[in-house]
Amino acid sequence: MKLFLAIFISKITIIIGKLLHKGSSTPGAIALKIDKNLMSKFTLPKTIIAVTGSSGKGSTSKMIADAIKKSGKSVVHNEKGSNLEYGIATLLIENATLTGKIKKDILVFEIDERYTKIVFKNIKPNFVVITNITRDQPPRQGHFDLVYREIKKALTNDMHLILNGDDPYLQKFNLEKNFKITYYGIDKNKYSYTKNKFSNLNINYCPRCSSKLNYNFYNFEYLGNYYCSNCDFKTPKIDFLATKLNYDKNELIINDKYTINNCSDILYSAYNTLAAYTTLSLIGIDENKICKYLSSNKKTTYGFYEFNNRKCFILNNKNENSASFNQSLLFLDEKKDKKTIIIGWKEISRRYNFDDLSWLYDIEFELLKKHDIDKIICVGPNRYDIATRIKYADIDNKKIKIIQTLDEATDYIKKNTNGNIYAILNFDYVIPFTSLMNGRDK
Amino acid sequence: MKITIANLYYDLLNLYGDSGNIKALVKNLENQNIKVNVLNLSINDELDFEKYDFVYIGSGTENNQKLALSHLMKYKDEITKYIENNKFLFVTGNSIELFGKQIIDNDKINCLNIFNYESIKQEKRIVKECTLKCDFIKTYIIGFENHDCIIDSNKYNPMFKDKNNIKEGIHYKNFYATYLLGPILIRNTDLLKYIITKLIIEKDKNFKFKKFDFSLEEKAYNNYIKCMSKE
Repeated sequence: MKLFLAIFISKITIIIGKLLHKGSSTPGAIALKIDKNLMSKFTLPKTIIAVTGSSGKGSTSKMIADAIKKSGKSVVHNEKGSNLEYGIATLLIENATLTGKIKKDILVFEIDERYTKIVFKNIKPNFVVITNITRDQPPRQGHFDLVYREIKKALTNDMHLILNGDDPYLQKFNLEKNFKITYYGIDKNKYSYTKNKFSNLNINYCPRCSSKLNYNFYNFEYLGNYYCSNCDFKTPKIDFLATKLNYDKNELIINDKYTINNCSDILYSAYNTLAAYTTLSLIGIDENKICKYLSSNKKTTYGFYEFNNRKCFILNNKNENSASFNQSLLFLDEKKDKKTIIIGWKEISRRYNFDDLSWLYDIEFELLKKHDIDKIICVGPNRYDIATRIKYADIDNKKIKIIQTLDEATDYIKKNTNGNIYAILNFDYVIPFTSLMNGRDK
Repeated sequence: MKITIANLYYDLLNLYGDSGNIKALVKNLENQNIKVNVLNLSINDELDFEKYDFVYIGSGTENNQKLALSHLMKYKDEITKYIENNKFLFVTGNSIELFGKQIIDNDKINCLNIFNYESIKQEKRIVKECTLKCDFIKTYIIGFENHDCIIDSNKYNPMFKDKNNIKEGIHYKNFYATYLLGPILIRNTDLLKYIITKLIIEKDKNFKFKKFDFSLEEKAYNNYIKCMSKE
């Protein structure tokens, strides 16, 4: 009876919420108030896929869910990104009968790293994708080892893990518990490099014996082909290996055989695509079909358009997450053109009021030094902190321009700068910047 | 003049943008026409404290902190001598714990025992913004903390005090240690200027200083102070 009541009332709340365009965690919160054991009472689909990690969980889970739909199966997915306990509860209620039965073939959900241990207790996935554990929101998360520990608590041996084999840090899961793991990775390609480009890495030493890790090549930060200088720890055998990566041709070829045609030139997007591919293959979808499904997705990783014959790249970053900014810098580092760069955001964090910007010094802005830069525009409430960081990356002071508002900054870019435009923005500036550059209202 | 900076455990204790402090020292010493030699050193290296004018240690994960500690323990006598000889040692974040007696979390881990305090793990991580006073600097010191232990270093001269005169950190001769993390020398240019000036004067009493240019840093600082006073 409790279950019926919890689901019934929440379903009404969901309808009201939709009418008012309100967020999607309240109904789940109400339901869990009525029945605190609600999560254990659902009759769930046989196949459950969870995607977690510091970044990429949204886009990876979406790729997985979309492809499953295209394959003709029905799927439940938290596509709006409500990825805490209440959000998952709302998702299940929305898709359940009044007796708690989810009548879909597959459940796919992205989940916040720290909530895995709460949600997995009752909603036990068969497959867990862990995209990465990077530096992310230090005031909330502490640091990556603590996030690792939280996820580890949530995992049991009957879960099948899907991991990036290029990431030595993620192999810690396997060293401490023996999981069934399928690895994906990217082979040496024309964008790989042999000399480390990033100074502040999460892992430099072997997670097994603490000796120095060496690399045959790097793809990004500490991702690449590694081996321990002392023991036999090294890149594992990769089951789904991108044997070719070509941004110009939009091409990602897996195991020399299967080609995906909408690869964007952000490396993380290739890794997310591989994670989705691996998962889809493991649930039994034919690999040729996976290629077709994934190739038909729209590219959404960054905005691009031409402005008066200048290319304008809009790179979407997450504040307090140096890896996302480093990813943008790697993208920029591969281009040899003249550049105007704009960096900024409205808020440091949506979640809390701490104004700490130490993470700016984890970002390798030093990579900009060797580029032909016209101007670097620092914009927004923290413009002086950004400008200071750029100064300490040894960029000529005369090239640093400090502007208070996005309106003035876009105006300045249009009138007073040269070269292609690289906008390295937190997500809260992406839409207003794009509108202003296009001359529309915010 | 040439100054040698040892950036200790650069690849382990670099968690919260702490490497910014090295950038601050290098750039502003070079602006004084001083040749700066930075030695990035870690657990596979031999340390030789005779060779360093300035030693820096930043913050790290608890795991990396223990890795660094077991290496640093070999140099206990050399470090003690280094500090007693008035040489510069600057420590940010949880590395302050290395210089006490013990870290008490699930185990009791012996530390350098140069200062007689224990670092005791707290149930909840200490995460906070700080505005502090400092005896040798006129302006407020701004910073951030993110660590899991607290230390009882009351018997020592602190580096800073909060508005209730609660002591923070340790200042002894030219040993400067604080739980404040990250690029505090960039955020607090008065502190940076104090330390650089002192470092140079110890080497050459008659050094002719050029004016420091901290215009960007000061604007960032003033902006922060302005925002804090509004709240």
